[in-house]
Amino acid sequence: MRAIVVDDELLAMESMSRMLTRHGAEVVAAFQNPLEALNSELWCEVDAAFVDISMPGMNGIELAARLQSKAPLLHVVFVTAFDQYAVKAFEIAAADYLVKPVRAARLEATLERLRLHPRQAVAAAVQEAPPTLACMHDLGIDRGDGRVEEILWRTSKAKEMFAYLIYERDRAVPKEQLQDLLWPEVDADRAVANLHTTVYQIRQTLKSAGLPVHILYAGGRYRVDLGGVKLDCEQWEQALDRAVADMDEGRVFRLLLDGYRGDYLQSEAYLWAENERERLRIKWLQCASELASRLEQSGLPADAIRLYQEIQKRFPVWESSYLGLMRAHGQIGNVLEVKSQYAKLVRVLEEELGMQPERETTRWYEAWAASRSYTSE
Amino acid sequence: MAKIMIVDDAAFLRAMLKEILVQGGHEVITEASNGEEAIEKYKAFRPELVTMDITMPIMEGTQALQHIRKIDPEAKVIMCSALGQRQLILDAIRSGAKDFIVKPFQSGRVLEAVSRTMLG
Repeated sequence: MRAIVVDDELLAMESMSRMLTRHGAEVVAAFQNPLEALNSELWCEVDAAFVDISMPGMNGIELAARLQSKAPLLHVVFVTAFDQYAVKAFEIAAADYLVKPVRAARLEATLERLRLHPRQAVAAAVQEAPPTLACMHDLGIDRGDGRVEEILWRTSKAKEMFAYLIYERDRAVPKEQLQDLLWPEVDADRAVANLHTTVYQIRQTLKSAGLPVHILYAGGRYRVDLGGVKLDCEQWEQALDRAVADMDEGRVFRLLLDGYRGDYLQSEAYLWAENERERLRIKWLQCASELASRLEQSGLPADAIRLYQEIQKRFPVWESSYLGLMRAHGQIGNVLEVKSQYAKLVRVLEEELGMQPERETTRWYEAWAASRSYTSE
Repeated sequence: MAKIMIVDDAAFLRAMLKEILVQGGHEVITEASNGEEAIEKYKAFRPELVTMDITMPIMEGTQALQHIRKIDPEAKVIMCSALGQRQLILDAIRSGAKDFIVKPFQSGRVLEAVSRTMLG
């Protein structure tokens, strides 16, 4: 382990350095002046800083805060004669906190802890968590804060080609196929030139977006290397399958209502994406229909209503959502809503398809109306 | 019961439609994944009824419908479309389609359209 010591008192600085050396650490430098320490070029090479808190000019906490932006992975251990600073110290993510005089056993424990979390491991962990590529609704980057950041494409062709390579992610796509897809009307020479420019633009865009995804070329074919980046649609589908297998209804409910950001590449309406879009939409629909009817049968009409409403929003002529809503509202005695759902179904089917409700739906509605007039008499 | 050919470029949609039709007592005698294949298979299998997706690569549905109607003016073809493809459906009806069903498929609607077409 490589360390730097900062303490304005010469004796304390020397004593700390000696103790660290005795415990197997390599002291790369020791500073009495915090400003000088801050300006050192050595920070990127060390694992840990042992910093005194009360120093003139700049106290240790301020120094640590500024070091953190210089070397984000640095472990900072505060060394102080007063422990009232402890809370403040941990607010800026100190690795540890030593009270002077520092005892050998206590220092050994600190070093042990730092060895367990070496800088390299921290760096690896940071690199192991690349962002997620969003494909639901629109292409974008989710850096883990749940927000989808837009990718700024130079041209719509660059966006479409990247989206297509992502769609074909397990396959190397012949360049002729890309030319036919993107420039069907253009002669071959021109299409080749366009393709090269577009690949260049995609690479530039990926680089400036900080996305570790690469476009590879070999034997006349292009392939995308995701570099560990996950796709939101794949993650959603896997999570949903797992939740369904575990019969975790709460999780399925949340994945359907909050986890499904939108239809696959919906904003661009690419024709080649239509089948994948439809497949995911239908998967959503099947899960939602199944769960809604189960919620209804388990006496949870309010949750069932929430789900049926979402089904209806996404699939306006899917008749069972209307019937489901009528039944669920019937269960909680919401007479007006039962009637209005039936009226809405009749209207939507007439407007969209020139059709009438199915016999099953009408039969249920008539039976419900009849039982009501019977009880109210 | 009808002997049916399903035409759709998406395998999972063909499978879903097949399940609905088989459960409704029909027989799916062949499938095709684009318009050209549909024409060839129509000639070879002579199905009593065809379900034809409107948007497909290579040759789209309405074009295939026109070819099939040339081969067999009595051909019974039901078009499959997404909601909001009203113009495409109207074009297909004008070209001789007997009925249409909307994706995602609802079992009742599919079987209703099939029996209406077989009777008519």
